Amino acid sequence: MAHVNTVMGAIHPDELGPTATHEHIVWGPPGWEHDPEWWFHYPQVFAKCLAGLVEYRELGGRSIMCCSGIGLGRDVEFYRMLSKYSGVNIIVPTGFWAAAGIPNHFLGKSIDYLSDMFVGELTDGIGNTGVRPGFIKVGIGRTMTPGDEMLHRAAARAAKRAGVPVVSHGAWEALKVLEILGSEGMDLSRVIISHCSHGGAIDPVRDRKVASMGAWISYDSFTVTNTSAVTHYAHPDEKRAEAVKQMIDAGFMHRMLLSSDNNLFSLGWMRSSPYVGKATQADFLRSTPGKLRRIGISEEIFWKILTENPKQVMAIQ
Amino acid sequence: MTQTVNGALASAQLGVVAVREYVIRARPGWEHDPWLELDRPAAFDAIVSALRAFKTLGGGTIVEAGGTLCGRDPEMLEKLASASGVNIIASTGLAGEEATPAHFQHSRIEAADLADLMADELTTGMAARGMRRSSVRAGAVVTANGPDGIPDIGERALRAAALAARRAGVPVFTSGSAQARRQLELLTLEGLPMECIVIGHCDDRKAADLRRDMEIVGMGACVAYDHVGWEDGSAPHALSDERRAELVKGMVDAGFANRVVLACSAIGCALGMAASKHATSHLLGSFVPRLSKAGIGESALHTMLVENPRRLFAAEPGR
Repeated sequence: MAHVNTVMGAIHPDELGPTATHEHIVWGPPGWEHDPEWWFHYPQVFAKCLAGLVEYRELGGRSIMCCSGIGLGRDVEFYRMLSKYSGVNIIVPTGFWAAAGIPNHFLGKSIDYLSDMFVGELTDGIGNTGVRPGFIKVGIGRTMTPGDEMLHRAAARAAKRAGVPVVSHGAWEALKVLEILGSEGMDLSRVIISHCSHGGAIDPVRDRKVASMGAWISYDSFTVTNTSAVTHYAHPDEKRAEAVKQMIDAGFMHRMLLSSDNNLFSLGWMRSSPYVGKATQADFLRSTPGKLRRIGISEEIFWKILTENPKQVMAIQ
Repeated sequence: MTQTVNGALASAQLGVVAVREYVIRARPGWEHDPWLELDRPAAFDAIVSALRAFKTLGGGTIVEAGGTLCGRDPEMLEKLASASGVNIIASTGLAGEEATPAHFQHSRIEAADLADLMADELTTGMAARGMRRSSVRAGAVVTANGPDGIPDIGERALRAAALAARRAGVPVFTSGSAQARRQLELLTLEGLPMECIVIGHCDDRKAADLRRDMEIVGMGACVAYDHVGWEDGSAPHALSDERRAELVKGMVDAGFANRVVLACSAIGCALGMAASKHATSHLLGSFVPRLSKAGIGESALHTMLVENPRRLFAAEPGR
């Protein structure tokens, strides 16, 4: 039976509704919890995250894919409470951020070890919570390192076995990502290439190529626009809107996902970064339709992309 | 006074000290591994019996050298010390690049930040799970480097170790003797006196060097032969106890007994890594008799096992 795994259990793909496909409720680099300088008061953070999700729902959002994988703050007990009291479906991944973010314990483990572990979470649940992830999230650094490649192979093997999609934030090495996942026999229509709208990562030719290979293009940094801040991916949303328009004009509306990569709360030193905590997923719903409307993309199209496309890529058969 | 997990203790009360042991040892992130489960009651029992065996042979104190990130549980250490009757001196610090997660690797975390983290663990209480500070204090600082030089995070951790140790008046135990000279340089650069420094792993098979050890003690620091019992060739650092005893003998014969400390680096409960085949009791049950047989007298043994640790742990804060 086609379904999507949320932290509250499986739902029918039609129940997803408008979905921001690359977000974070919390995100932090592995080890943040050992550094008292960056500890926080959980009730306050719960209130902040809940408010963010409630506002997201009020503005029309129904589901969020939180892309924080293992060791990155993924806390399914916390997420279950947030989901229950906001009414927003939360979908979490298994997988690691990138080779640089693999917790020390797992360094040196084989591809099959990682793959078996991902499958274990996808089929038996995370820890003893019984919560099943809905996808696998992996990524790369500035380039695809041998460790990143290993991680992608583990993701592909697990995805094939468990029938879930893979999100890789490797826009700048997209073709290499697809080559590696494809060489493991993965169906590219279950692959999402993330961060295609980051500052410095816009590349319409690449996007059309990726989409024509059947994979998904994710424009997922809407609202991250503060170029005066020291950040590697802020730039004007107009550039992102233009990329969306080019893809629609090229006939790839059905291969595109939209999101904003915001953290509702950042963990560890990340909290001090100038580009986090400035906008939310609600801001994404509030401001993006206008950016698209000005270049001729109707609000109806925006909501259609947000509703129909996640349903296609996320469904586990 | 020495901070043990059960409170302050006059250093004269420490007795025989094994200066580098591990109670629970894991690499950061182990708790996310679905195939790794800490059976707490079983681990607790096993660790208590190992500590009692050490005590039965005359042992008094161990230094738990895992540092902040490698599976340390302050409140469990407190209970283990109470149940076994062996004093445990817990440690703060980062135990090597391969055991330091991404948050700490980032350049945003400076030596001064790490020094504050360590000093707080020494003077207020060690961090525990759930973003909570326990009231159990660390009493030593550890730091570690691999065979291939000292990376950026290693340098920050060493500088921080020196700053925090000075503030709290505790010793620093390094490991990775291949980097000994640079370790001494960085630690003293931050104002830590030589007599508060113990260069560990001097009996690593790949880095054993008696001439270097004499140079180190000549500068006023201590050397630790702290892998006693790791003889199996499958561990890269393993060395026969026979060869290890020769190193100790060499130092004693040269008149340096007052700058040598000993330990087993035994692991009470290994999570996701190779366990030691021996326990801390091996130090007194097997290695010390071997040293006696090699002609090392009672007085030199007492110096290495009792007096040197007593002096190291009697430092005053604010130096």
